[in-house]
Amino acid sequence: MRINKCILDRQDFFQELVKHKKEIYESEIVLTQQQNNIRWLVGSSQAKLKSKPDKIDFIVKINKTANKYGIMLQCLNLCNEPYFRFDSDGPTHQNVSETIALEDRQVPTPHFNTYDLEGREFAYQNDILKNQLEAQAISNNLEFGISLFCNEANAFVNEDLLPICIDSTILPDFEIEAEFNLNNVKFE
Amino acid sequence: MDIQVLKETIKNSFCNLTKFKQRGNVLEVITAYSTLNNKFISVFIKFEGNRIIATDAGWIDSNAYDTPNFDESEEIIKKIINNYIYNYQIKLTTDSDGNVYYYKTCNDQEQLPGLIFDIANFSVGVINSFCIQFKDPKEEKERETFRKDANDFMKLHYKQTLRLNTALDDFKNIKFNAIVSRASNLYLVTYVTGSTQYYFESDLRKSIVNFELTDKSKFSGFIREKITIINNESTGFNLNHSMPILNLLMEKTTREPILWSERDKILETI
Repeated sequence: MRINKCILDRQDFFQELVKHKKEIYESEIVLTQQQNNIRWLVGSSQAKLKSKPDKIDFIVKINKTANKYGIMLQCLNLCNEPYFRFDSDGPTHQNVSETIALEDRQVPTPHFNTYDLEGREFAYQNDILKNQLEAQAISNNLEFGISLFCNEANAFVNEDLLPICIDSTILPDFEIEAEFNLNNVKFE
Repeated sequence: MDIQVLKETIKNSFCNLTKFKQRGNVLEVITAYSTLNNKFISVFIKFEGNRIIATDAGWIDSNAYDTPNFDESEEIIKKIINNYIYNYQIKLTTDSDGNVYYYKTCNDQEQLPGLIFDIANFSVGVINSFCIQFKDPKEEKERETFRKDANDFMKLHYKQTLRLNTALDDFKNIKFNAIVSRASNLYLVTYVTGSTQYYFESDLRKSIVNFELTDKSKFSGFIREKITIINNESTGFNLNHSMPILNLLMEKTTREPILWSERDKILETI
């Protein structure tokens, strides 16, 4: 299985990035069309640890066609991939380990993705996401997702506020309403 | 050990991997099939009248499985996908945004597990082909570094008379690393490098074919020199092992290959 060597080599820094309190600079995240992929809207704010100057990016991505979104923290001084991520929907992840019972390897979405100290990617659901009703509500609402993410990742605007997202391509207060369907696909 | 209990445990563990998620009028089947990037394949079921549709719901095309993007693998991935499409008799459709959906249909519920099995197997194969880096990154780096060094050397000495990575006008798909044109004389140059003997000799063969084909060009009368620059600092360089192919190359060139460590000899030739 793939090991993220950057995380393996800098375990202490990685743990600090995950656990310590982070300040998100912008209270409003403006979402715009992602340049190389029209399916996604993307917006971000700079963030940083209180104790370290390293630049962190707090990124929100929305795929309206697929009714899903992702929220992530990335620190390019650590590695090129986001080191902590939330997926509202999408494939079930497998936590690969011989010590985990086969059935317990499956982690459905919505879930968080991060790395263990050996640099192995793993997914998990916290207690809120393990509750199916709450998980469903969070999948359907970006604001709920941001609240969940910021609390789990310990990242806030001005100590304890949550950032809000503004979709620059349509009216503000965007909410994912349409349910997953295949109605606009014609099967022969 | 109770073998019966063991059998049951194994069977239950495998079966319990199959899970379901109701999404409006679509049923998501989370299958037991897992990919190289540790995602479980989902197959989506839709009922349309008497017809049952099993599809990937566009997840492959929209990269919901979050596979890496190796641009240079595009051709080989296409071949793999086409093989899987043929083997599992998969159909394709697109939505209004142009997203591709892979699917199969049946009219009989009893056939549905088979359909899900096919779509899941197909999806694993396709997703895994996206996960593999078919080209060797070490080789790519070595090739790129040498190409850049050799190009810089040529640019330094031949400036306006030089064209890089270019073809003779009547053989557009036969490219030379460099062509120097001087007073209606053409000097064709190929580079040979490689991180392994295999890649090194593959470059040698390419040079042989390219030089051979120039005999058929209407510009052949203007070709003054055919020269190969060999990266003798590359890890794939082994004079003894590659001698038979080198000898063949020398039949096609106008002089012995020039070693990169002796590159100033190029200046004596061109």
